[in-house]
Amino acid sequence: MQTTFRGNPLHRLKLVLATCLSAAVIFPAIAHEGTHSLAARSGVARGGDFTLESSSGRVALKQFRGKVVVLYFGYTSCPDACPTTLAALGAAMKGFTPAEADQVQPLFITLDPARDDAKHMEEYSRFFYPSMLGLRGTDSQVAAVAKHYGVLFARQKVDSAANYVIDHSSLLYVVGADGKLASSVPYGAPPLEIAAALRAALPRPAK
Amino acid sequence: MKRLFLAALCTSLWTGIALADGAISIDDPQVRLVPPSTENTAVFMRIRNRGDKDVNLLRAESPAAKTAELHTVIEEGGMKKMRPVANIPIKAKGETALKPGDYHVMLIGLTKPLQEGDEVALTLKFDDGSSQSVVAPVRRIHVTMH
Ligand SMILES: [Cu+2]
Repeated sequence: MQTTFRGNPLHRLKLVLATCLSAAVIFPAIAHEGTHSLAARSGVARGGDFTLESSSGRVALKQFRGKVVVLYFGYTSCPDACPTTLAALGAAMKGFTPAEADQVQPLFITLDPARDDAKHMEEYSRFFYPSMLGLRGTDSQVAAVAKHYGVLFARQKVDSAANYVIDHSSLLYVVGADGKLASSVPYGAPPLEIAAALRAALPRPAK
Repeated sequence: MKRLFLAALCTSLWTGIALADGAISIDDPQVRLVPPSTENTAVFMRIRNRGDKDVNLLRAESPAAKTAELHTVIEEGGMKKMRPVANIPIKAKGETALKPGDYHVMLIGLTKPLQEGDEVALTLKFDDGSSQSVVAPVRRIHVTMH
């Protein structure tokens, strides 16, 4: 879903809803077939609750009800899409007032749990924003969460000292205070666009 | 005139840009600052080719990492895919940007963690037989692409 966050928030919301609805009507069968690509690009991603591991124990999406949660899926040996997106997210967070920032919880979920342990996920996430949590799970747990959010990823063996890379889609997912997927922000969105998407999902306008 | 040339040569050496045969030059090399304990990072720069022939970057070497590879990022099927490449072409009278989401030199297995402001030595070898040695500062890299 190539949603760009320009114009007024209500209009944006309508646009997102319209996109989701039309996608759901056109591709109702595909959503259940694991054809993630069409599902994700068409906005069929449904979101939903999950529980994963952080360096200090289990983290459930539910525990952030009342806050806006912003999710990113990637891996720490990713040289490019991940640090680029997480740096932009960090910059967006740093532009918020303390009151606004308090209402937003950034989560980074690894698609490479084999190489990303919880400690490393914590360090990596904190580097981009102090309250960002790094989460991991088993391969199947991570795959299940990714599927719910319409994340596309594939482990790819390459002729490199890196051994393998994870091809992956690179959107930010904004989960509203009610725990429902509110919107997604495309790769390459500048911090202001990310901030606008997060603000639009805040339960009440911060002063 | 000779003195002027020498001065120019010294300046370019001083800034870490060596003159080879003059066709290839490197601008703005920089290493992406990555979180502590991250073992890989990317080096970006602009490579200019003033010559009349296309030139390919064939190899990169750096004491800062176990391996330096040439990579690119392609977008396919809604995914970002990083792939090694055999070379990075720089067209005659042209310029190739190594930048986020595109070509880069990938440092794999950093020999020590890099801090902001550290300088990383890098040698680049081209198929015209020339090579370039650059010193790339480690920086936080913020980009937005459209
Ligand atoms: Cu790379």
